[in-house]
Amino acid sequence: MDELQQKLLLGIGGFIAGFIVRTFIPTRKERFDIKAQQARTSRELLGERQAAYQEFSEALRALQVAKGGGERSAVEAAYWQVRRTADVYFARIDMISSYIRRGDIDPKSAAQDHIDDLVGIARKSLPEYYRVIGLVAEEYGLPKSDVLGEGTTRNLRLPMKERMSAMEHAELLRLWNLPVR
Amino acid sequence: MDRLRVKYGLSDAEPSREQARLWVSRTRQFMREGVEAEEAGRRAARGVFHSYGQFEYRAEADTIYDLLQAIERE
Repeated sequence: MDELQQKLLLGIGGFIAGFIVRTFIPTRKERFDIKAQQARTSRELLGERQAAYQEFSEALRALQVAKGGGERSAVEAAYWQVRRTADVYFARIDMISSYIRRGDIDPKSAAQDHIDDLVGIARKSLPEYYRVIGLVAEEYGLPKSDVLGEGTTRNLRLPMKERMSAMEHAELLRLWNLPVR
Repeated sequence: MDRLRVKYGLSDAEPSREQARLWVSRTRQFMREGVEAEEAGRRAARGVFHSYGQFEYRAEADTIYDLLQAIERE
């Protein structure tokens, strides 16, 4: 191989290596931009979650008042409002969990904005919601909400697992009637 | 800052920026010593915040739980 060929090969090799580095390894600025975007996404999702929470909690208060009043039509209207707002609220929770699971929210933002709340929701709100709303449906002869199961908690499970001890996580799965694995 | 206040039940006056920085640094120190993250945060908070655990803030999950209990009682 003469000198010209060696230079040519070196040039091509350098070009390919440079291309790979530029394409697959983010620069410091790009890494900073990605983190900033993840933090923005996290805050936006937090805002959406809080808005959905407000509507859901107002609907629950309205159902409590309607049930106290004892008028069936009022209970039925309030029941459906709870069902609608709960669907939106739990869909937000599911979406946030899936963002965390995919790494679209960085662990620091997830911990700061969401994880504690997600754990509380998974442990307390979700099972209690399905239990109580089922009782109301039975009492007033209304269609029941879907039971708490695999689909509802699929995305929630990974963030929970990261945050909990193995024993706590197994206990949570039992609470959700899911196989411990 | 708000999250620290809620998480560790602090008064409105806490945490200051300086306290928050100190909490981060002590938490990291505990973690370097092998303490699990949550416990490290708690230990650091106890040492840094004067009002640790004196206030209770209702989390979303608690409020929803209470409302559902109230519906069941009606």
